[in-house]
Amino acid sequence: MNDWLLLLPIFTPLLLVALAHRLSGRGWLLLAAATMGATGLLVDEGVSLDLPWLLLGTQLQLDATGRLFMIYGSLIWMLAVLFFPSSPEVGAGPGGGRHAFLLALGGNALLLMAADMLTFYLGFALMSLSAYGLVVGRSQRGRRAARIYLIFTLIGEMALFAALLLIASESGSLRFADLSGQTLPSLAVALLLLGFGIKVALPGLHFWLPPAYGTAPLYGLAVLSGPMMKAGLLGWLRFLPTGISLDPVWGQTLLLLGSLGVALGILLGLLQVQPRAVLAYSSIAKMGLISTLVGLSLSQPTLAPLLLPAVLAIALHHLLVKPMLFLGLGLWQRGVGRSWTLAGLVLLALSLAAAPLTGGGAAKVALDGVLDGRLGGLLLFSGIGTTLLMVRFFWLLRHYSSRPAGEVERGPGAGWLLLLPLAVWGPLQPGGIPLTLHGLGPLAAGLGLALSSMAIHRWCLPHLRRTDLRTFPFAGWTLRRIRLHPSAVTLPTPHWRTPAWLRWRSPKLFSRKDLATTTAPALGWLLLMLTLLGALALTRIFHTAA
Amino acid sequence: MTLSFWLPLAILLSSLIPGVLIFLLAEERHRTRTALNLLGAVTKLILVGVLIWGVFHEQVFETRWALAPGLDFVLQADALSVLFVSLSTLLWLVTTVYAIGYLENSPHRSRFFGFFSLCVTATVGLALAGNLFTFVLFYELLTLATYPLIAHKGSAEALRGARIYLGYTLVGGLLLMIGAVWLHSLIGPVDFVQGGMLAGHGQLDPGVLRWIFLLLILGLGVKAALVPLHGWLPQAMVAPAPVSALLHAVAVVKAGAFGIVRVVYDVYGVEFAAGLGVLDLLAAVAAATIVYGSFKALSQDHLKKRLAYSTVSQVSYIVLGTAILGPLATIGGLVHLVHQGVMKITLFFAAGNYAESLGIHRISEMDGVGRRMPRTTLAFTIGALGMIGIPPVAGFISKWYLGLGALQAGVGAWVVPVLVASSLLNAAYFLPILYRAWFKRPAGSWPAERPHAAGGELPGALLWPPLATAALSLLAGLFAASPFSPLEWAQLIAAREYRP
Amino acid sequence: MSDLLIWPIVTPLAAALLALVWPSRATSIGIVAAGLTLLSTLRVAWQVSRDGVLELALGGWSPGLGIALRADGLSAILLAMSGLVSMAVAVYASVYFAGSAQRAGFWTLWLLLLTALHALFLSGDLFNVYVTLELMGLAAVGLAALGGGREALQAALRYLILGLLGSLAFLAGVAVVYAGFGSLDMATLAGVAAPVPAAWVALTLMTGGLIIKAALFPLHIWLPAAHANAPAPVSAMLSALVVKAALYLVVRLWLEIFDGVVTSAAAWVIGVPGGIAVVWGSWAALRAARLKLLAAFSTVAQLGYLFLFIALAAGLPAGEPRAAVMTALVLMAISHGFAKSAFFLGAGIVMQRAGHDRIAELGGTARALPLTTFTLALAGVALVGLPPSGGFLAKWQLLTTAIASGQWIWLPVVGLGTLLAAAYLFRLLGHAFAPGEGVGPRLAVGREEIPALALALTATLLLGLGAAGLWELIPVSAYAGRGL
Repeated sequence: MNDWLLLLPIFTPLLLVALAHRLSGRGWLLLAAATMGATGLLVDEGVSLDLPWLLLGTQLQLDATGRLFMIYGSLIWMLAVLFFPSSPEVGAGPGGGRHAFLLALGGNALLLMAADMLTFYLGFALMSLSAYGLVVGRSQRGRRAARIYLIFTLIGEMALFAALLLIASESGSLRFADLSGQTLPSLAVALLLLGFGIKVALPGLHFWLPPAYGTAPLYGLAVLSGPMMKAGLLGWLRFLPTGISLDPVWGQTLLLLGSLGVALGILLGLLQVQPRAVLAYSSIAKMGLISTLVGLSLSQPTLAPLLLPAVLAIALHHLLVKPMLFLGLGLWQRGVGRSWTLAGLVLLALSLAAAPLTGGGAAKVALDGVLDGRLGGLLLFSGIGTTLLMVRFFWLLRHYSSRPAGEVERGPGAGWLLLLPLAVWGPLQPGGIPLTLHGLGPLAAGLGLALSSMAIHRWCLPHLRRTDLRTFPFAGWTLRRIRLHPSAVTLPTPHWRTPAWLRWRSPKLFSRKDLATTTAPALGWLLLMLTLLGALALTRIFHTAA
Repeated sequence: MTLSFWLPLAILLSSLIPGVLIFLLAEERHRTRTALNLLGAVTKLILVGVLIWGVFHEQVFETRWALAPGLDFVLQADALSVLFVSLSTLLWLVTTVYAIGYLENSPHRSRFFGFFSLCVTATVGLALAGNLFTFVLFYELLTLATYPLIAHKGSAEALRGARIYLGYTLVGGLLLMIGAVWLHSLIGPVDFVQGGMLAGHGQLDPGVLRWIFLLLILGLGVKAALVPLHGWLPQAMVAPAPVSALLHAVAVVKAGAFGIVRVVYDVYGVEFAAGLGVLDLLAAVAAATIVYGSFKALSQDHLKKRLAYSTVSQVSYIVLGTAILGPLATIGGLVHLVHQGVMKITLFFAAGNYAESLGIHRISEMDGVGRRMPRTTLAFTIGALGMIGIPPVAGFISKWYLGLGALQAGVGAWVVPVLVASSLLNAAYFLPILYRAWFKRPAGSWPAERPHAAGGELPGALLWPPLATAALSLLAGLFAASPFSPLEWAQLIAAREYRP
Repeated sequence: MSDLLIWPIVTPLAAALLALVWPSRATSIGIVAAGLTLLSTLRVAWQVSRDGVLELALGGWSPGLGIALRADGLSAILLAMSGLVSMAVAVYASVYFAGSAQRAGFWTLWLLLLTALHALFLSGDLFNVYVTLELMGLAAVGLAALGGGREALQAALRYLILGLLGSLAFLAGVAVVYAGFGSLDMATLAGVAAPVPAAWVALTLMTGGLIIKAALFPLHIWLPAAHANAPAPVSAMLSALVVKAALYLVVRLWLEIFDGVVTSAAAWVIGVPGGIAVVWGSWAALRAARLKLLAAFSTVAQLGYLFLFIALAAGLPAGEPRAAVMTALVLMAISHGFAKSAFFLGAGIVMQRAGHDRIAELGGTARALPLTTFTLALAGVALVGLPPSGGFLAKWQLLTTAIASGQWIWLPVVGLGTLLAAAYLFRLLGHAFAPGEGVGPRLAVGREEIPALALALTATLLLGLGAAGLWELIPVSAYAGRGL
């Protein structure tokens, strides 16, 4: 009977979708999300279920990785439920996003337990596509962002479809278990990198992320930045497991792209004027780091057994922290329990920046143990960068005056606070949190940089202090308005009749509004320094990789 | 004169007799007509059930009747015909229910249902045809039975659409007939034999065989709406919704595609045809049609027109699967015969419901319709997702096998991109509809809203058919690997066609 | 037993006389006579199919001296068709001419026409054939003139003159035959006919006369007007049976009696006009403004097909393929006979109801006269040669033969003819289905609608699906020269 329990987290949400129009309230959403965690906790590792009649033959299996993702992911799904408005809002799609939520949840559970490629693909598609309903916002911008998200998702789906076809026709088997020892066609690997790279937001494939994160409703944002984004990573782990023979060039490609992602995420993140956007770019950076590590393990398979647990730890940590940050930001903006929220946010930020004595720090310590010097530059850069991003985040947060706390729901704040300790100090590691100050360096360096720039700003260039409310905290002097894209300011209204959305409009790194207000900042020296640092890190990477 | 003789004939008669009786029925006798319709449809379904069981156990069913020396009227049931027969029988039942609801209070119902039954009879006859001559016979009959259905409304536009349809299909029928006669004059009666019968006639001139193939495909391609022979299909969308549904999913378009399958597999033999080199051309035309149809669909604002171009594109999947050598591609093509039917009929039912209850004909009028008609829109959504090829809706299974087959045959380098491009284009023309329906706010008032009984969005006869077919298309994909699923049946056919 | 051959001739003849002396009962007499004639024709057909050729020497004279009646497969089939069609026409005419002043005249002439037709089909010698041909022509002209209008009279006059010309040519041919071979008995002739100049001249003269009567392009000019202006039952008889009689003789002469004389080059002489007739007739039918004119031009086209068959069959050596083509020819002829008579009867109903037969103003017909519209459509299907009609089977055979014998030229001709025919049929149906009030309100199904429907069903379903027996019957020939 134990094995049939595996169906519970898949079918509960899917069945609830069918009943969704009859049910009110959020309790049943919570229930659906909880089944995933419950299954992860209750069912033994390695339990598998064969359903040869389903689809083209489906196999479900609960393995260690999937189980962890299920347990922690379920927490975020549950927390997200609390952020649903108590009654469906108009304009957020059918059922106010509830249908989409349930479908995406079912898809997430399915892909986590899938033991064959098609089932994984099914779960992935179900999750990614229904997430459209979670991403879509009520504004024009929000709809546009969701559209971009959808286009990228579809391209990703198609890449995966083609990759699956290639693998299936090459090896004849769709079981993940049969993959080890196989040689995958190069094209298939490239397509896999592309397909999951979109979800992980590798540089070049990340264009959907900033607009989507900028406009998605909180509940959607939470699951998008947490469990869903990690599904891309899981895809790589599943499709390119240790033991598969692979041209090392693909590992190096991923490594390079991941490092670029780190650099891009941090540099562009610093230029943002919305706290959300800063967090969004920080996600790109963090996923870049994870991708780099995956790439490293692919190019040097001997490292993989040590590297992957660390990757998993970082991923799980990010899975918890990033949604918590987004939700905390939301609470802050709503004006819920401001002091508590701020404190929580600081803790989360510290954890994200891998401060000692936090979950993030622990993950980093584990990583340092494996890497022993490899990728050191990148890690340093990433650490400093993340710290800077967090400082930037709080600086911007300061300017977001919250609305007067009128009738505020208590539920979301309470849930958030409840999950806070786990997010800050999680994921639970066998050895607990190491009591070491290891890793304080980047944090300190980052803080130092930030403070010094503020000092320069305040004392050396006082006449520029009042340029803009939202000036860069490290501001030196004002650049003229940055325009990265000439057409950025004129947004054509969406015109569905002709397939306007097929016409390629290069996605913008900044939304229009952001650009318009980015009058102030840019400090050549800081950018220059960071770029130098990045270059340094890259050379180190290649040094070590070679 | 045993069951094996009578069963195919009985299947044919189970729609023919009600059809004839309905013609003779007075216009006002709605109950009798409905009873006749449903009785015929259910009887046929039961008979087809017996047939499926028999064919699965390799029983032989054959009705043979000499019309002239060398020209036999042959109905026989092999696995391939069963695939098509069961599709048309099942969808006939659903469409009949839908049509009864749709045509409530409209004139000329006896005429409509009479021709409707004839149309299905012709389709089933096509499916059961045991030789090329019988096939041609029913192919022409289908043309004749469909014409009054397209012209049913009697408006100038409907007559024009019907005329265009007729022009195309009669020329096509003629070409098919010339091809069939030519072949007949070369080798005598052309029976459908699994594995093809031409390979046994080694001494034939390959050049002549290529010409004949071209003629046959041109003739069949008109109904299958291969580019550039597809011009009639978008025009035929003036027909009432149940007719469009039947036209696009079961009857006409499928008849063409089914004929191509027959010609390639059971007349020429797929290996022999590949040896002649004619399959490459067919595959190229199919691929061009797939992409062209999708592109044309993008720019249509009229919902049924967009669906029509989508049919142009989707039906060529069947042709593509047929034109690629190898069992996997065969499976992909054949299973799409069923899958496309079920999904497309859902879409047309839904389109009919929009038009019927709110007067919506254009996509630009569909803003927020999902909130107004959630169940219809749900069915439409499932159909559309299936067309795009999103799992677990049935369309995915077809695409998967087509892709695998292409890779197996070594033509994956261009077929897989075509499939991917088509999926993306399908997404590009279906998703905006879904977006409008679900996510946009209603414009305020609907073009022509009709009052309905409070509570439900539509009468049950209009609501349940799309939901049923949507469920079918979902189940066909979800349970693809189960016994007696379309996929399993297609695998059975492929195994028999490629039996050494 | 061979006595039964006289009944198809005697019954209508006696009835004609009876109707002449008792005009007030003409209708009943006509219907009863038609019924009896039908029985006798069916009896002949049945007997032929069972026993083969039947022969009857009237008055005990041996063939060659007296009047010999013979029935073989070909004549039996045509006789049966004639019986069936005339029965249907009789029922129809009883309604059509009810209360009309021309009633008595119609029945007398009509029964005479029937007599002549049946005598022609059964005659075993050429002189009798000439006599019956003449009689048939006169009766037909009389019937055609019944319409009474100026146009009808003009058309009838033209018909008369051309018909006489044709008969004269035929008579001249018969004389040449007698001079050349010393016999007019067709069975004897079939044995002795040789490719000598006398045979050529005779054949040319007789064929020339017959193609006027059979209205082969370009000698069809009399037909459209005559057929279109006659009353509907008459048109049906003229198109279905009278032209077939001339065609029957051409078949007899070309494919059986003078089989050894006809060369394949000669076959082209009737093949090419036949081909042109197919295309031109269909085109003219498509352009026709009136329903009955459409039907008449369609007859021209259909006769073109039949002559194409003759040409193709003449080009084939005797044997099974040739017998097959000939059977297809007969199938084509009789399905045209049934279909065209049904079509004319249907057109007559429309015309009586609407008061005109202008196609463009026939909107609403489908609503007011559903059964008749269905009849027209069904008959049209057979005329176009769409399945499941006999025309379809015949056309299939025609194409097979054309391809097998390498005469590719007929492919586009047949194709074009078919498409044009479909075009005129569906043009008509398009107008009939269009909304309109031209035909008045819907009434109950009339007695006159049933026979038309029965004829159309025969052409479309019976001959399409149940005609396999023909292939055994037609090769049963009393005159096969070199043996079929």
